Amino acid sequence: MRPLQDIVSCVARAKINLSPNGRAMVGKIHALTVNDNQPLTLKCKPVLLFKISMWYEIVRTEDRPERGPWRVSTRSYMYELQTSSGELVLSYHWHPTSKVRNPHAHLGHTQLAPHAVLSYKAHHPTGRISLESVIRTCITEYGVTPMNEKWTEILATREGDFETYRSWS
Amino acid sequence: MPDTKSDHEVEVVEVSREEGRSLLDRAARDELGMSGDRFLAKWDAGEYEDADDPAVTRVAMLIPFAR
Repeated sequence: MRPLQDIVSCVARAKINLSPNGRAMVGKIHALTVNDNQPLTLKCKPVLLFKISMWYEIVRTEDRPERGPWRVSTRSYMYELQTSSGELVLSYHWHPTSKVRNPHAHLGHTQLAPHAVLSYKAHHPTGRISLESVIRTCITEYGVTPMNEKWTEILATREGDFETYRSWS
Repeated sequence: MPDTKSDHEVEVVEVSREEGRSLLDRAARDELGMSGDRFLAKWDAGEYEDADDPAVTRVAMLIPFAR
């Protein structure tokens, strides 16, 4: 979980919750969330809230021995930005066991005009989105104050690992 | 990797099964107005297979906490 701790530490002090036996049990899909499933409050104006949920599996690194015998492989994700009142702004989803199998984004209805063609229920296709890229966007595009002065280096390093070791894109 | 001190600032906690079920139950009540058990029953019955509401996803992402 060290990579995830590093990534989250760029914008928040937080607690990562793992589902039961989520540190070690192999052959099972685990979940994680942050702060007991309460959104992180990002330091910016206007205030943004940030929810993080992921499914992951602990798998053998048979083809990458330099990484040690085990690694965490993402099985689904939800990275969601909300207004200070909890209304959806933007949410990146990938949950391949459901009807919409490919990564996509939902736009929050608070960001849409009353008669907009776009709908918050519509699935707008994306590539695979890294948590690092979402956090970087929060800092560079929405003025979130970084909580770690080394955020640029941390996100670049962790995203480099993500791009090197991910099993699909 | 640089010393980020993240181990001190972002802790990792593994919840118990009871705590996990409580987490799911709260989310199901907040997002969908039903208990966690009711949500799981509907999920297992396939009632959300065509769901396109992000609120369903918010709850579904917590299913492994309860199982």
